[in-house]
Amino acid sequence: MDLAIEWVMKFFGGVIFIYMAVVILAYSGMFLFAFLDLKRQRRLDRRELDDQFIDAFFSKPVSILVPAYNEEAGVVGSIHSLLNLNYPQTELLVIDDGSTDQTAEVVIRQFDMVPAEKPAESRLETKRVLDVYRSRIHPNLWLIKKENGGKGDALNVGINFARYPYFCTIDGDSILDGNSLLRVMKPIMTSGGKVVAAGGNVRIVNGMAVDHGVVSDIRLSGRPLVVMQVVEYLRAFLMGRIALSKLNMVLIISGAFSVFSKKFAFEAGGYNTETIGEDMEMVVKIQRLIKDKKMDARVEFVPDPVCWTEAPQSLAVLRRQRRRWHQGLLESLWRHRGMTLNPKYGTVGLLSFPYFWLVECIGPLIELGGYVYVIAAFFMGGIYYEYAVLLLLLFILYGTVFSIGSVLLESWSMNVFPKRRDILRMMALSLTEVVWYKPLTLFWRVEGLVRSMFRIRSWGDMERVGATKGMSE
Amino acid sequence: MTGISVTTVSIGVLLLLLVLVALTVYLFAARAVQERKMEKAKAYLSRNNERWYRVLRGMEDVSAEMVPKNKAELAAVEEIFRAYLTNVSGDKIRERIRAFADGHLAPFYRKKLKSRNWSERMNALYRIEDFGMESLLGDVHTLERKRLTADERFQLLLIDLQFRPDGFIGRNADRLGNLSEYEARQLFFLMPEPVFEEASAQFGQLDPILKYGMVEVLGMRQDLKKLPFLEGLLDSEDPEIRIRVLRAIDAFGIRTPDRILERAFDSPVWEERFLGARMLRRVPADEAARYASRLRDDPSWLVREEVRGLLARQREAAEDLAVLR
Repeated sequence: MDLAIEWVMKFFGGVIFIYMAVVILAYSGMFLFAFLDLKRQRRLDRRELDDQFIDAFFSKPVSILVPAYNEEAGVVGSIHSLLNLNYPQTELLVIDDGSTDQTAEVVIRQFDMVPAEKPAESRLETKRVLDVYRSRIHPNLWLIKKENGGKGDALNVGINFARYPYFCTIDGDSILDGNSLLRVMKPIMTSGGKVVAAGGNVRIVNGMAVDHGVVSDIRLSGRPLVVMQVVEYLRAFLMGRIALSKLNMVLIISGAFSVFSKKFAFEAGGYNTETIGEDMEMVVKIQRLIKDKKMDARVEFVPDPVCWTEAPQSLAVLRRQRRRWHQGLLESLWRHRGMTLNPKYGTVGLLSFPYFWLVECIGPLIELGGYVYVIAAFFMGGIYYEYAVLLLLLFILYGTVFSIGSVLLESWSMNVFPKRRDILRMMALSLTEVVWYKPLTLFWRVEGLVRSMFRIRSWGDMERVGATKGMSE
Repeated sequence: MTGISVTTVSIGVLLLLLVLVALTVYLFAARAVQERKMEKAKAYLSRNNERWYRVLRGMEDVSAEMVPKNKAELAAVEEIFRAYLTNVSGDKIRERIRAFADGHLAPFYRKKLKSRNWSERMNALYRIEDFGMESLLGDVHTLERKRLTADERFQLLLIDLQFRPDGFIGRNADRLGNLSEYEARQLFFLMPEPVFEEASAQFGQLDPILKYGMVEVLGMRQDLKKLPFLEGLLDSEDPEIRIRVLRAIDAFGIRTPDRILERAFDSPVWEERFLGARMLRRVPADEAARYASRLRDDPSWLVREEVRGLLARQREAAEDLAVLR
């Protein structure tokens, strides 16, 4: 019996150690990549580039799609921020996906909208469109009311109605910095169309002062749960995505703020209305299309342009969000499992897919197993006590050190949070991440994994607190 | 074995945390320096803003106190110059900025051009172009011999175009082939007329990307003298050229000659028929209706939609006119 326990402990200990070593190495590499890239661009006067692209002659017109389902708390702020964008030619399409609250009414009233006609293609099949409205104040602002069909379906309606060759997707609860669209479009314009999709940096708006859809004062939220998410976003966006983008291995660009070539979106069949993570699914389909058709095209992540989005403020809502994200991730990976380790798909198949399977998808299970292992090993004492200490140190290295490193990297390169107190708070909370935030999110992600396997697809509403109106604190 | 691992990892984690603490201290110190720099720049601005107004308007000469002594003051002067160049630029103001930059700012930018940091070099190249600093041309040419990024190479081209327009096309033939369409447009947009003429005379030998850029710029310039040149390009075998030519002609804002419309409607390429349909908005209603009937059953949905929209708008206009009468 003792021998069996010893064998089991050694086996799982070995698996967890090897996993942690691989992940720490991968993250270290990505961190170094991000550091070098940000160091190179840190002092660049970006206004020079902004000035060049602001001229309509040099830019490409963009249709901005805002799918909204029960977003009455934040949709007006979101629209204001999009109307304030420094971009020469846009049209703004708000797609009300059969909201049961006052989303459409609020938009119609606020922007003085009247029924109107707008030509639409029917290349993507969608739920029925009910009405189309156009603002009398801002003629480039449209509202499309449709039957409820989910975010993917709403976006497909938007693509059908989009007039311009590129479309930008923004969540109904998100707001953009003034130059964000200009900057996210830069790789598309300068690459001569080779960049067919680009995503920007997403940050958390909770706690910030927001005035008419513009973040007017940077303040870190007073809620530890929100601050931990701020740090988490910094880590994910700065560390992971910069490196993956440099190697053309991007599989996720946030649906909260991304730009796509309409032609590629049509060819990829539009958004999938069956999957939960429609944003990841779209990027994977485009990467697949690029490789299948051997096209000289790429998907890029641009760290500079910022989209502010609302984060869950309660454990219950955060739990639902993380469960849903993980289900979406697994569904996309499973749907395109044939790309895994398939040389036909280049670095996406050989490196990106295995990384997402191992670290992002199955990783939480192994890491949660690590926590259980640490507790068990502590109780068993003897040699296992040392195993537990070693594993705990690796957790600290993996969680805390990378989190603090990301906070510092962001502060050094972009300086979004200018107050020293805010930086110290983020760092202090990062020190506690391993004991509460990390295990909680791991548990929720594993829940998502289990729910995916049992095909459970109910996840409840995501209540909004109106952070884009500066109402979150 | 495990004991050694625990010790090693403990020391490693501890060291990393110490490094992070050191980095935090460094970061905060760097911020304090940056803040002081910003205060100095602000102080320079409040001291000299009015004076710069008078100097750039030619009402006063530059005084020694206005010459920047450090990076903070340089940043302040750059802000002032950028603001004037963007908002109130005129030839005289531009010339005064150039003279001051050549006389007093060159050492700063010379140093930046030699920097190992890419963004510092790029910023220096931007300023040399913005302020028209001819005195640094020698340093810029030295830079040309080094391994540079595509962004730097393009900025060098813009500087070369600004200061040595004669023979620009021949001198840079190899480099022009590597431009993106965005860069090609920007280059043609900034080209003085004689250089543009030289380039258009060699249109057939240009790379497709350059051809596209040139046609787009021709459309933007709306120079009617170029209409025959553009019309001649409708014989091109490259449909992309023909499409862009039609778009450029449409951008002229005049009634498109019938022969061009006919060619567009007969094209097998839907984009050409679409642009032809769009051009009908400047054709008298009865003629437009006649043309539109040819496209009413077009295989492309977009062409049909454009024709439908055109007819609807004309109908509405006719009804409005009837009411007014």
